[in-house]
Order: sequence, then structure tokens, then C-alpha cells
Amino acid sequence: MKRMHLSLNLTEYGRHSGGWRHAVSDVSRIPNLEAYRHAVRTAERGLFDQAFIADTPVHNWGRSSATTTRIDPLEIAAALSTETEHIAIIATLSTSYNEPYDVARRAASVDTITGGRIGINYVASTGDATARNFHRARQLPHDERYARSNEFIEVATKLWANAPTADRPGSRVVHHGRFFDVDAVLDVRQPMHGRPLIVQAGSSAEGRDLAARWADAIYAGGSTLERAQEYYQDIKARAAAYGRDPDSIKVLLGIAPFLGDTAEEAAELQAVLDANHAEGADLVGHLSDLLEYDLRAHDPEGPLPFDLLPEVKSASVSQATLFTRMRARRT
Amino acid sequence: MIITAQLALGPDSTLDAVESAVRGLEAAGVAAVCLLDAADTGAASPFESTTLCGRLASTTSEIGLVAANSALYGFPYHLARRLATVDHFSDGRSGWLLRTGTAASEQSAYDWRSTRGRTAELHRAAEYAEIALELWNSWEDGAQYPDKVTGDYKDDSRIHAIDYRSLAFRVEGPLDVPPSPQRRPVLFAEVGTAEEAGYLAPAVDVALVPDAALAEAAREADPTTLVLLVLPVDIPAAEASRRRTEAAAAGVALECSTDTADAAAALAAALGATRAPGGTLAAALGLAETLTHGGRAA
Ligand SMILES: Cc1cc2nc3c(=O)[nH]c(=O)nc-3n(C[C@H](O)[C@H](O)[C@H](O)COP(=O)(O)O)c2cc1C
Repeated sequence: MKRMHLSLNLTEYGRHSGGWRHAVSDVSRIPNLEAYRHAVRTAERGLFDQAFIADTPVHNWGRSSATTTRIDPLEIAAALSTETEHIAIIATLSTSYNEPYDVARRAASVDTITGGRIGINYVASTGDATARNFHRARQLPHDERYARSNEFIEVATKLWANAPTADRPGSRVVHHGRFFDVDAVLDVRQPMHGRPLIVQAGSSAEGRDLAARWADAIYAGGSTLERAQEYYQDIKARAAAYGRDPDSIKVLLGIAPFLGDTAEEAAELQAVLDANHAEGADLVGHLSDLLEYDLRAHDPEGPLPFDLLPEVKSASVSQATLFTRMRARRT
Repeated sequence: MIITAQLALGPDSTLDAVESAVRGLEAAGVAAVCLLDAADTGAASPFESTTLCGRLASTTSEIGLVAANSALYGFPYHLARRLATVDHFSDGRSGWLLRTGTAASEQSAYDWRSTRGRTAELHRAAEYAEIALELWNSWEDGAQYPDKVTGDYKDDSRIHAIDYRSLAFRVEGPLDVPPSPQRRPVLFAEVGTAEEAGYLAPAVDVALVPDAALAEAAREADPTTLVLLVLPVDIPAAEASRRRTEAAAAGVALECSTDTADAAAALAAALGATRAPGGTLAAALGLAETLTHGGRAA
């Protein structure tokens, strides 16, 4: 029998950006630790393997963007570890704006705190605004960010492999690379399974390649069955090219379900949430950012000007293509 | 008397041992526990201080949780976020012990290297703290007001970029975390030399000093800084009391490990450890009124 792996996108009020305005959402405290606790306990009861915490360390200006509070995912994982016994937390960390030694120490610590239930979703991060919180004027180009990601995971993995255990002291890791220059012994105990799980969610060629080389699991956007199959085959082929057993990478396809006891109930919930999201928010501005094309001059009720849309370069490529494809199918 | 503990994690520290040590200190009336990890002690341990405080936020309810976190390496933005997270989860019991030393394990592990001596390190640490303070202060009170009816979640006009620029750092901000119950962690630093007193006492709320002379130096550098005398745990209460009086310190910080935490709790109780009421760490230390919220040094 084939097993299915379930991962929850863990937020306080659900993934829908109108979720916080729903009657059942308690917004008396932000961030709401109780809401996280409730969600992770419920997911564990529902036999989910993992709860994933997305992260982008920059303030979101504007009105449409409030979906969940951003706080440090590793501290959340440590705080939530008292609530559950089985479910793992996957914490997102930027390889562009972190240092491998610091991540290796902190993730190893959370691994021990959670009894080996931590994974890291390594992201290259997108956007100049984030770069400006971390001593840079602008982000590195896409391929450079992925080169840094690869080297980051390499260094962190070496540090964990040589970390101290109960039986032996740690040994020195010497790495002189393009982005990192490390000559050090990790001073936090080795994670239970040697290293935290490696998760990745890139969809570009560089992203897929990184995932194929390192990842234990991948979050895939996946828009249509054909696209998802193409993606799956491609990842497995790339993994094999790296000499890996293709079965050692789990591809987790993202879905956004609206739940109800009946289809009508589910549709009603979606309608309520969609209405919450739309009111007052600068949707056209948000979509313009996503598609990297200023749509403000176009009729908001009219069709998207598909012929004018550029090829999205830096932002969330998968979201943008998914959106335009969905829209194209409907009209 | 204000009593805190410096809890040094060791190679054999288990989560159970740490939690039971901290619970014992909490029950004895200790105001705050500083968690010292391998970068402070030089001995590898299973835990890193700030993530451990994330866990302790869920398993304690009154004691202050002070994370030792570098003020030299890494990124001030991450530091500010991590401690804001701990402050939220602990209902305002967070503290930051500025780690201003370069432990052997860190010296060539990070992008930044200490090559210009102690003065340059202390200057960097003071800037690091200044950036963190500005980030914690980047949301005005009331900027976060989730209103389900209008759909307003926050008020961007009351949230401000910090645009910090120095030779070493460039941080735009604002922090992406709404203000925490205490607004910011209480800042601690160990002061072991007159130069450290000069740089660090004005940068922090609590100076931890080894003797009467440095207590005086810390007060001289900043009369508003709370001074705690660091003491070993294996001395009689009368002796501890006499040394505190001699140093004119506001209280003492007891050095212990998970093995000697019981002794520290007993000594704290004998000395009459008290936490002033109010729930936050700043209140427990009597600092709630005087805690400032950042602002660039002139
Ligand atoms: C399920 C899922 C979760 C993601 N979470 C994050 C995140 O938390 N932070 C982030 O910066 N990017 C996140 N991403 C974006 C990806 O890391 C990646 O940048 C994006 O899919 C574009 O692919 P590319 O980087 O290969 O161009 C996520 C993507 C997916 C599909």
C-alpha cells in the first residue's frame, strides 16, 4: 500500500487571507500562540506528518497582505513542541539572509527540543525589500541566489555531519567557497537523525536542481495534472542524475481545500472568505506586483491583457503562471 | 532582593534537567534566568540559548527568560525578530544577554571577523543593540488593530522604516512583528573591564559585574543601569549578602549549572528573592517605568 504524506501550511487563521475576519478567528492577541497550538494539535490528530511555517523576513506594506503574523519559525517550533508528540515542524529559512553556522546551531537545538521533529524549508528569498533588512541594497540575481543556496546547504550539512554527539566531540569543518568561508566546529549537539529534514519549493530550473540534489521533500505549486506530472518526472530524473534514489524525494503537491460537511457548506465558506479578502484591499496593485505588470490602466472588470504580460522574472513565478493559466481557462 | 541566575548549559544537559532547574529557580522567586550556551561557556551542549527560551516560554509562567545571543555575529534583524517572538510567547518575560565575546567556535565561522580589537567589538555590539532597539520601536502603539468589520489589520502610517546606516550595518526595517507585551526584551550585559562598563552599561538595562569596582564603573557610565553582582552558588547567604552590600549592587546573579540549580534556588530563597508583581520581566526587576524604547545614540 502506498502511503500519503500530509503537510499543513500552518498559520493562525488558515491560509486564506480573509481567514482572520471569519467569526471563529480570535484576533484578540496577535500573534496568537493558542491559535497555532490548536492548529498543530488538530493536524496531529488528523495524522499529518508535518506542519510547515512559511517565512519572509520583511514587513508587508499595504492592505491586502495580512494573512498571518510573521515571527521566527524556529522559536515557534520550539514553543509548539510541548503540544504534540509526532508531527514535525518545517521551518522556512532564507539562504540569502542567514549564515550556515547560526542556522546549524539553532536547528540542531530545536531538533533536540522537539525530539528530532524539525525540518528546514530552504528558500532563496525574493525581493529587494528583504535584502534591505540585511545590509544589501538589492537582492542578488536569481542564479546567484541559488548558487548561494547550494553552498549554504552544503556547509550546514557538513557542520551537522561533524557535530559533537554523546559519544564523541565535534570535528572541524573547513570550507572556503564563493559565498562562505568557514573553519569551525559546531558547538551544538548533532541532530537525532544526523541532520534536520531538507525541504525545498523552487520551481525554476535552478530551484528544481537544488531540490533534486538535496531535498527530502518538495512543496510543488502544481496547476494542472499534466504540469504536475511533468514536474514530478523532471524532479525524479534530476535526482537520478545526481545519483540519488528517486524514491528518496517526496513531492508534496499544494492544494487549498475549503472544508464543509457538504459541497454547499464548503462553497459557502469559500464565498464568506473571498468576500472578507476583497473588501477594501488593493487587489489590482497586488496582482500587478505578482505579474510584474501595472494593470491599473486596465478595466478591473475586463479580461486580463494576456498579450501584454511580460514573462515573470523575479517574483513568484509559479504563482504568476498558475494565476494566468487559471484565468485563461475560465474565460 | 532581585536575584537572577546565570544557568550554564553543559554537554550533559537534558531538556528535562534544564526545565526542572528553571522551574526550581522560578519557585524560589528568582526574577530571571540567563541561558548560557556553548558560545558563552566553550563547552558544546545540546541547546542554543534563544531557541531554548522559545520552549521555556511554553513551560514556565513567571520567571524572566534571558537569551544569550551574539551582538557581534549574524544579523540584528533576525535577533530582533527572535526575541520579539519569545516576548510574545512568554507574555513579556524576555531578555537579551548581549554576547560581546568571540567564542573559539565562532571566530572563523561567520562572515564578519573580529580583527580590530576589543574596542571595535564593543562599538559593534553597541550598534547592534541600537538597531534592535529601533526595530522594536518601529511600530507605534495602536498600529496593530485587527478590525474584522472594516478589514483593517494594521495601520501602515504608524509603522516606520528605521533606515539605519553605519559602516558596519544597513537595515531598512521596520520589523515585521507587531509590538510584544513588553515592547522589547530587557537588555543585559556582562561587564568585566572598565572599557566594557563604558560601552555596555549605557547600552543595556542590567549590568552584571564581578566586583565592587566594576559595579561603581557601571554606575558611573550610566546611573540608571541596574547593577547585579555575579556570585558563585557555593557561598553562605550571609557572605553573599555582605558582598552585595559592599558593591552597593541592586541584587545578585547566581552562577549555576543544571547540577547546581537546586543550590542556587536554595541560596536565592535564603536571600529573600522577590519578583516585583506586574508579570513582565521589566516589572519584576522594577524597571517597567524606566525602560526606554530605543532611539539612536546622539
Ligand atoms: C508551498 C510553497 C511554500 C513556499 N514558501 C515560501 C516561503 O515561506 N518563503 C519564501 O521566500 N518563498 C517561499 N516559496 C517560494 C519558493 O521558495 C520559490 O521561490 C518559488 O516557488 C519560485 O521558484 P524559484 O525560486 O525556483 O524561481 C514557497 C513556494 C511554495 C510552492
